[in-house]
Amino acid sequence: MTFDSLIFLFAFLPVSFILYYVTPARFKNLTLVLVSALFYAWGGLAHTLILFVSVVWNYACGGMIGKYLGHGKRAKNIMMIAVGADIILLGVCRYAGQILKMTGNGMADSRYFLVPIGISFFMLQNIAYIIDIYREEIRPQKDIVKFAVMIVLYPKIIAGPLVSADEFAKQLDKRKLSFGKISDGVLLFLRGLSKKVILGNGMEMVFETVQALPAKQMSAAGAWLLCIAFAFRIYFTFGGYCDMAMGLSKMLGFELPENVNYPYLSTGIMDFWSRWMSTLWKWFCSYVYLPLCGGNPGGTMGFLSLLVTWFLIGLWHGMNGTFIIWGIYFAVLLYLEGFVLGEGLAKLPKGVRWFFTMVLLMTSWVFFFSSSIGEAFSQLRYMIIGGGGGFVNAEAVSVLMDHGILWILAVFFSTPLFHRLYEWVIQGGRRWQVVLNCIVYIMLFVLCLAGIVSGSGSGFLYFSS
Amino acid sequence: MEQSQKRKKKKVYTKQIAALVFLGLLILLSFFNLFLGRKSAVKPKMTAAALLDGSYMEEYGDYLTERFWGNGALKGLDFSVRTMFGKRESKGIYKSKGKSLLEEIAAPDEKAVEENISKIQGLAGTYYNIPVYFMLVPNAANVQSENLPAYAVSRDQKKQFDDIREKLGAGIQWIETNKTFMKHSDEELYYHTDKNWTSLGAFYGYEILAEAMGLDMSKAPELTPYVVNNDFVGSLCRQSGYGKGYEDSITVYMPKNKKDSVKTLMINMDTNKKYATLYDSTKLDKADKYSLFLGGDAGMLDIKTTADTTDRLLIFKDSYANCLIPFLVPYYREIVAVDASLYEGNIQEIMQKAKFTSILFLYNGNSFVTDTDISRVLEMPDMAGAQENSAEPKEAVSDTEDTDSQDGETDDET
Repeated sequence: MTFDSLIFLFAFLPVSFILYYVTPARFKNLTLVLVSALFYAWGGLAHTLILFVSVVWNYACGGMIGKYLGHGKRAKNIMMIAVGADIILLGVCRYAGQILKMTGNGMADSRYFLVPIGISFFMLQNIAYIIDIYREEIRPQKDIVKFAVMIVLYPKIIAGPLVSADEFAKQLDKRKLSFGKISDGVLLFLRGLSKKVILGNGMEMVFETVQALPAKQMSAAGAWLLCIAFAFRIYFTFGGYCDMAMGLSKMLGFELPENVNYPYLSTGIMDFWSRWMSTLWKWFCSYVYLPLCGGNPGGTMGFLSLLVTWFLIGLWHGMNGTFIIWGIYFAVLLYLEGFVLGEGLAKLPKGVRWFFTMVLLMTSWVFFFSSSIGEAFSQLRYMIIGGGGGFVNAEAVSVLMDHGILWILAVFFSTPLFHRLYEWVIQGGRRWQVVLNCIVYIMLFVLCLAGIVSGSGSGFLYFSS
Repeated sequence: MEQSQKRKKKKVYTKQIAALVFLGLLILLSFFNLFLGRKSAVKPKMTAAALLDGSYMEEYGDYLTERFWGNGALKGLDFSVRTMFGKRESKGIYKSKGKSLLEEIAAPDEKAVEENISKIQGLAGTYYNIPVYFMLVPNAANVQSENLPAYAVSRDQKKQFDDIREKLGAGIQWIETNKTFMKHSDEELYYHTDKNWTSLGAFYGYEILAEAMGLDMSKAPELTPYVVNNDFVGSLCRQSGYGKGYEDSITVYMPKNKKDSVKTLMINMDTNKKYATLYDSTKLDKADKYSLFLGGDAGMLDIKTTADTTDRLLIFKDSYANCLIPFLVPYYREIVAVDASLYEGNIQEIMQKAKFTSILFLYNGNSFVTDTDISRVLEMPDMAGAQENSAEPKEAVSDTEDTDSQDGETDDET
């Protein structure tokens, strides 16, 4: 089930919401586990089984690690077995279908070999939980229902954000439900839905239009527009999803960390990764990069650690050479920015830094959307010397002009400007402001509904992760 | 400080009202959908396997979308929004820079094209004494390609035509249309909202055809165009969803001097109805106004005329020919038009209808390269019988020819 589906909006959301609020406080967690299981089961019961086996396995291992901490190597061995099993399960579920496909096995077409949605996210949560217990940063969760809520809570199960077990356990214990939170959550959800359905799907249309151009019609300008269209598309779909996840969590009384925060305002690569999927980068920092490089991030070991970390981040996105190159590309950029060019870059004017950051980011997306390394390098060639269409051709101008409204909206909504302006307009609480606010949100909802019913746009880009 | 807190409170109040309205709307629409919505939507069947692999849930999602209350209106709204955002293509139809809708150049169904060509060659070989002409008309997206959005990825229809011409070989007389149509490309050759050509396009087609087939145009009555309708909204609007942005005019070419008119009797062989005219003006009150010409598509039409000739023409055609056939009436005693997609008989039955002196294939490029019916109709059920027919053509049909044009028993004269 996805948040932008009719079954979610008109059946699951109202029913689960009402059920959650009418349930007595001590059964609320159980209700959350059950409704989250139902949410996940909509993708297939077989995949739900995998989810719950992993929950029980990690709960049991976490308990045992806690029990044997300080008793020689036993805790470490259990931790390694637990994490190893998690990685194997993740690998099998994530790549089995792809491997079968590559070997031409007919079973690859079976729905059972589809990647269970969100497995890359909830397995990272499980691994973090196990390692944190071993590091004695948290205590094992005694209540399996609470642990299950931490892993399977439906707003975040599919594409994060990744929440630390410690932080989430505190929220579980001190949950505050209020109408203020519900209304904030509802409106945030609606904004996220609008970003995804209206702007994300819109930019998908532009991206597909440019992508369909044959080499003879592709110009350098067209190739750059393709990257920019993809950049907006991924931002509005994933950013919209994160807003929806945060909004739904708020409605249930939880605060999720901000995962996407206007990434195209970044003035550096490190800045970008603190604004884009920041919880993923934090996870890899805590559990891969920092343990690997020890206390020396700047030396050779630091560079190699960064390479390994980003190789894994690339692999985590998909078993394709393009993702590996994408990961290594960021490892090199981060190292250069952090340890080689750092001071020189800091002296540059902010606008110049922003420009170069955007050029580097747009280039990175080439490896993200290309289906093969060859295709990615062809695209890079078009961006530098143009295709059959030279540097600028009628196709590129037409893509820009015909979709002018969409480009303007995309630029506008990828900055906080519009939201701040709108908040300022409605802050007075006068009757017209109340009415205006209602009309704006209802209109957005109706437009989203129109997009959903029409089936325009594909799912969330990170669903297969 | 106090004022700032007051403002904050008011802002929270504004948000709470909007959230309440949304939640109310959500619950209201949920209830609406329980009781209203499209009842014809078919619920998927629940099986253990489908539940396990999730296919049932996916189908159920599709079912819910299909039965969603207000589905049609919402789809229309989404279409308008996407058009505003720059969507220029829908279901293979491009919205041009002007007000035209252009059907994209179709991808050829290679196997079907090969099959059709082979059967046409077979026909030419079997009835070797009857000349076979082949006329492919380019589509608007080819002739007026400058009207397509610059980023439209268009197929090369000229190359498609060259391939077909080469494959047909010398036994079939190819009628070249591309050059003339490109020369007149800035004229109203095609309807803005329909896939068909206009009467002007058909007129140019007729001129090309007459020259290629050696028809003496000087003997034909002088023609004058008359506009018979000004609010034609063609099928491309309905198919694409781009709506009524433009209304076309329909023109018919009639002899300047009424007494020069050749009288006709058109028999729709599917329904056995007879018509004393080639134009069914009742169709001008209906959605498909192009059906004015020959009363629309039919499997087989037999048009008998009072033309002073014994020539008989057999046409295999698509809807483009409906508009062109009236131009050919002065040159033939009888024209039999077969639409292979609607005709259920075979070539032997067709050839027994009359002693044809010419066979013409008249299609627009898109419909020929995707046609899968020509080869079926041209399949010889009994080759020996056909050869016999070719060597000694049947005369039986001509028994009726002297009386038919005076036939007053028209069922549906217009």
